[in-house]
Amino acid sequence: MSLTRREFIKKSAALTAASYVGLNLPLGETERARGEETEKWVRGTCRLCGVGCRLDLGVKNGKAVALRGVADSRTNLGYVCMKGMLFYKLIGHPDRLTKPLYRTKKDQPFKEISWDQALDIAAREFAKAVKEHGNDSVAYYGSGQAQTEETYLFQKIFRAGLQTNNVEGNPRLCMASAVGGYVTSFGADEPIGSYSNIEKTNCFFIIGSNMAEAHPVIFRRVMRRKLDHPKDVTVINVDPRVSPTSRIADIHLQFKPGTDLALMNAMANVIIEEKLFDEKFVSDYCVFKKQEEKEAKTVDFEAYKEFISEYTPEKAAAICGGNITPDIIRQVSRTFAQSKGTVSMWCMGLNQRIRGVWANNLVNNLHLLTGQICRPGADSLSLTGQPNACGGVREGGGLCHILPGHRPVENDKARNQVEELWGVPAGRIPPKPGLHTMALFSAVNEGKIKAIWINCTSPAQSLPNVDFYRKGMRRDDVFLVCTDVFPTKTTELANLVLPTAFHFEKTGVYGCTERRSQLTPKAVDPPGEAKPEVWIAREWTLRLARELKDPVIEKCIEPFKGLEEGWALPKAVWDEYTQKLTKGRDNDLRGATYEVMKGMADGVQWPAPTEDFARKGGTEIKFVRGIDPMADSEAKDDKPFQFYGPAHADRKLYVWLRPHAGAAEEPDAEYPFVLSTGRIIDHWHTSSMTGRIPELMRANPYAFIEVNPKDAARLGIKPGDMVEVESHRGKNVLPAKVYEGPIEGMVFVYWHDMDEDRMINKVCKDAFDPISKEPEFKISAARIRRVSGSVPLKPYIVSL
Amino acid sequence: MPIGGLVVSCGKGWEDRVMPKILELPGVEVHGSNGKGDLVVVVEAETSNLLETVVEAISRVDGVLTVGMTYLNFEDESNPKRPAILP
Repeated sequence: MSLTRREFIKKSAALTAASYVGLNLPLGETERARGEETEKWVRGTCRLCGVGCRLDLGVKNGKAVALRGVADSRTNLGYVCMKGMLFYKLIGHPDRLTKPLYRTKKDQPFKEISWDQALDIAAREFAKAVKEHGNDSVAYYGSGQAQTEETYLFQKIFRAGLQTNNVEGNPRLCMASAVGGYVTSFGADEPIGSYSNIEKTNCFFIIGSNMAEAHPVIFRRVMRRKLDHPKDVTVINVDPRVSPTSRIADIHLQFKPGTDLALMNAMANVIIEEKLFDEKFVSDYCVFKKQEEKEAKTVDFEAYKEFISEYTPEKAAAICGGNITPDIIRQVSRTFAQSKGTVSMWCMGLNQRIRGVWANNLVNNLHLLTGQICRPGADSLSLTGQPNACGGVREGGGLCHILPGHRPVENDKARNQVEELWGVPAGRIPPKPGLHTMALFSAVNEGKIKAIWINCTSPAQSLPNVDFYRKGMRRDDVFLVCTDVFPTKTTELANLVLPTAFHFEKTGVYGCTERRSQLTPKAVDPPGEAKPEVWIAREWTLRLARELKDPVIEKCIEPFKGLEEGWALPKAVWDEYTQKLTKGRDNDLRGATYEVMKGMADGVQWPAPTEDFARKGGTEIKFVRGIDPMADSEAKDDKPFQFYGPAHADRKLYVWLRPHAGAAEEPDAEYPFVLSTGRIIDHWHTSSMTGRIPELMRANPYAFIEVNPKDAARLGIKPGDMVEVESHRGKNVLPAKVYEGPIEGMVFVYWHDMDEDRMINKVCKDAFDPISKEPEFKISAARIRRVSGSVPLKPYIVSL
Repeated sequence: MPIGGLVVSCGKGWEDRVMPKILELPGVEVHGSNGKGDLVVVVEAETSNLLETVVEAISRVDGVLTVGMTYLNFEDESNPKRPAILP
């Protein structure tokens, strides 16, 4: 690069940054244009968290050469985190899978084979399983990182083609409790409001989320709001661990892990006792619900008041411990209720719990009691972990109990409607939901699943109590197909590994936290023989139909035959999904066509029934007449809010009577610590991608265990010492980080490390929420001991 | 040589304390400030590895709250080789 050109690029970099903060630099457009000498900029979405940051990928000579944030995007306002900026390194990375690989037995080395051979083998093995063991002996396990077109197409083939609802995805491990919370509280999945509430709110209630590391760009918006209005905005951070998120908090509530249900009930109690609730909102829109046996019973306000009166601030403070006092509970309750607008944000700290749905309900309760929803600056906003957990899996039918368009599998009418829309015979989709994730991998262990397709995820590392479930995946009578971009702990257990195109090497849609669907078109060619998943699914299905001699299987991909894979094929899949399956549903995306999204800085928030409405961005706040078109079209009365969500026929919002409940496994004399896990800013999930970016790997080459200084002093642990953390299930040995992060009695380990000695999911327990079926990663009983002083460690990434 | 454009945010009034510290780091230029605690910064480094090191160092400067990346040109590194840090 010449000096002159470098100067131009530097000016361009400065101009881009300056434009985001309203600063005019003395540089002309000509200089800027010369600095941006890429052949084209292709606008897409980052894939390394659920925020949905929009960025432009600069392409020159068929290669990615530059990245910039999209300033007009309503998701990131132009900002991108370091992890997001470096993801381009995965495009064309030398470790990429580039050829189909096969072996008959899992202790054999892989052999390279052709796509024809690979697809024939996959078809033959799935057909064999179905013929010999029945339709429910096969399964699909997908991902919140797969594009919507991929999830939608795979689930269609499995449900209508192979006649099984064994369709699951890794969002079961992260977002299922939020789904359960939204559906049971509001009658509809996904947040009511948008990120735009961040710039309008006066109180942030951040609970169970280290958003500074897990969602850094959204955290930046929160921080900016606080810094710009230091006196008018209060940040309340609720977490047993002091995290980087806590540094902007006015109040940090630190408590014993697993006691926050008592805390939130006590807040509700204060809100009732001090008459801080919105009587009109509650009277107009809410009912109170109590779960009894198998049925939810409606109770009156007095019954709720009596129930909640048990949770006095004094009682909750005693349960919670830490720095929680009755006075601080009263203070945060008042701030929450009396703020002009309160936005709650939470993530895995509430979701990955034995009572994750209840925890979600209790946050939602606070918003319902105080009327802190459906208006600017007020929302109950569950932060999504993955870029397409909402769009693909929650909306596109990627879980065992839901069909596309938020339709429950067990609902006959909904199921028959889907069959009709797909043009397959009535009764083709089985009425019984399939196996949820933990049940599915238990069935793998038991040899009941004979063929499983794992797409874009690595359960051999991401499942809790992972050693237990890897036993099943190792079985030679379980045929395991992996579609992925890199070798992972799961490809190590596969029979067939199929190389896939990466982000920007294929076209597709991601739907982020705020109900916004955003298009990422293909910008560069995938390496070697890697292919988009929609092509793989289609070609496999053609062979499967022949193997099983079943024309209905072929019918599933009939509309997509012969289409070019870079644009026409995913577009046809998206069109079928949106125009047919979301029509009239609460996630109506008919207006969000490829043509509309391609012309936008960001994307479309559903419901968006028409293209004209979608072009403006869609629905910023659901259920509000004049803002949400379905609130008008579905209106039943003159009230300003119309809660038409599909799960509550009575159109009411439910305030739930949920008692405090602790963890499934509390510390005891033998295992006296609480082990919790989470993310770190530099890595993503199982680090199969970020572990291959040296800048990120150097910043955090291996996991460590955070120990409170008081516990460390008591156990003779010094910074850098090797510490064994052990539970009933397994153990890790990790270097110690001694600091005032976790509360005394708690240790914390990030979960990205692939090394067998530092893979913390071997230690985590696999008990799961009885409603959402989401495992309680966040709390396991454990013991720790110093093993040795510091020892040199090496980073580890799976290779073939 | 990768070039990055950043917005470095510190508290309002902290600019004068943060800016000299940032400018001590290699390859760093400050192009302006909006008076609200946001600095427009450009970083040029030999490799993206070094660039990330500088960005990390900026984030550790006393008074810096966040570092927001807005632009990255990596044209010279568009043919990635297997990183030395990996086994």
